[in-house]
Amino acid sequence: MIKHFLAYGNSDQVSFRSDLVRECFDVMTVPGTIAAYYQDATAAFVLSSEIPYLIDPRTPLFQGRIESPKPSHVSLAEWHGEHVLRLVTAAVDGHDSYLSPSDFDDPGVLRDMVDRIVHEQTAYADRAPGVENKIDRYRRLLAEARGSSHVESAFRPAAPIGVVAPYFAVTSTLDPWWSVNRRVWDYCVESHANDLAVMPVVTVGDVSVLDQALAEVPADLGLDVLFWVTGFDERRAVGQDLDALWSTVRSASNRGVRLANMYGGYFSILLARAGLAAFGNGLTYSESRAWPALAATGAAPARYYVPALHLFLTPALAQALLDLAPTLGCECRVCRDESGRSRSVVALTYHELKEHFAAARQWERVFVDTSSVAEMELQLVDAARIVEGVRDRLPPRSNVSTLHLDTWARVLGRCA
Amino acid sequence: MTISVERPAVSEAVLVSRVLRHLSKLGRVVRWGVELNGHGSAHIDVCAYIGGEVIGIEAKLYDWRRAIGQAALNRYTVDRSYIAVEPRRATAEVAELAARYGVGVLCVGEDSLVVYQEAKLLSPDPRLRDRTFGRLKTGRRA
Repeated sequence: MIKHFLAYGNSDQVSFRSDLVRECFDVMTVPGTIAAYYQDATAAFVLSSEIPYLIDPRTPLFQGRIESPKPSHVSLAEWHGEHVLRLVTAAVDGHDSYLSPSDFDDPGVLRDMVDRIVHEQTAYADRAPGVENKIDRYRRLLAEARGSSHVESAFRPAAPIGVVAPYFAVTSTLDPWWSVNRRVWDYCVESHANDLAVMPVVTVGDVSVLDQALAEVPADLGLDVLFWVTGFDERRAVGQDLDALWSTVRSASNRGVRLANMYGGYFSILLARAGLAAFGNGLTYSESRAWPALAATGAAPARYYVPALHLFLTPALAQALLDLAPTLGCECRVCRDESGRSRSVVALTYHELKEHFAAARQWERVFVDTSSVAEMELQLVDAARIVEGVRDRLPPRSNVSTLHLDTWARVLGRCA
Repeated sequence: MTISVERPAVSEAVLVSRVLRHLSKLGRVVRWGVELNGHGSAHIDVCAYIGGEVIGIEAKLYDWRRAIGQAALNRYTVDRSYIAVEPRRATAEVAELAARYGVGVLCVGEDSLVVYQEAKLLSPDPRLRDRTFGRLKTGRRA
């Protein structure tokens, strides 16, 4: 089954202690900004969670003009070496600050950045002795959440499952930043071959250039490759782009590459049929991510994921839809009461909305893993048809889009 | 050629403040911008406790269809749900569409607030309704 990477956010701690959520994903991805800024608390939480994890260095935050850096960006800049930190500090002081590809013509700048980023990740578990009290507290909270007052005495903080190399977004492989990425990878191969597996991140602005970019990742780096098509929203994407993504994933998979899409939703789960190994998102957020708007963060809005539509709606609109079309209802443990009756969506708490999302995502993964392509197509087309049957009875101006369902069904029909 | 452009008589904020002013005269508890869990980050424009009922009101100058849509979704939180429009917007067409969703229509002028169409008594989710009522009681703005 395709692996699910779930992003950690500060407002998600309760969710990550929930057994239901913990059963529904494989790897926790920790944004570098959070890891660097809330150093002790994040290390204690991540290490005590005993969940496999990765740390995303989020290097594109510093790419190009550095404007109004937040305190968390300054902290993360420290992880990127002296040169980046100097530029970010200058920006904080109001100076015009710009990180350009030519800054890395000095091999020392590139090496310093890579060494620091790699070190912060490989040595992450070494933070445990400095945050023992916090780890104890988080372990107690985790035990309590799981209905136990007993905390096991044996505890071994684990290193991340791999090291994410620093990375820069590119428009194509002709982009000057691509050459910086190449040199980063070459240096990783040369100097960090004995560390944890180094994972490159191929970040492109258009799905049409992804195939070539992936083909240029050095094989010596290992088979695990992350990718991010900036601003690519699976629900809004046209069929042609989805076809291209399918074909790209299939061809990389045929080369033996284990590809992970950093930001994706149900279409990425469908891409398991093309060979996608993993995909990531947050608990009810970040199924796509724009760049350079990467700086935009904050707690996810309260919204309900309708698994049959593979779509988020406000809880009230979701309830209005389910009132009209109960067959679109969710069967998960959050959405049903003890006697199996549907619970009111609008009554779900913020935490329950997140738990439901995790369960729904798990259902989607299992469904794709155990169904035929024809069944997957039928599910999409059926759900769209049900919505069309009640659309004129929904409150005026209700935005329940189903275009993506038909588009995805057609892509499945063509590609799978 | 003269192109006639319809200008709003008031802004939406003025419309909301008029609703508040009129309801306040009735001595009711009124809040503005009460967070509604069901809507995610959206808010009910005006919330009031009148005659033992929690009332939600969405005020709109132009897009009364959107107002009705929002008011229809308030059904999970309040006992009665209204839209508030300027007198010239209170028409049979508006009332008819609102009635389909059990939404009432308030006609709000500078010196008057008239119930153009009564809202249906709803069956909100008890927890959400209680939470909204609690906010009205304490006067705590979301």
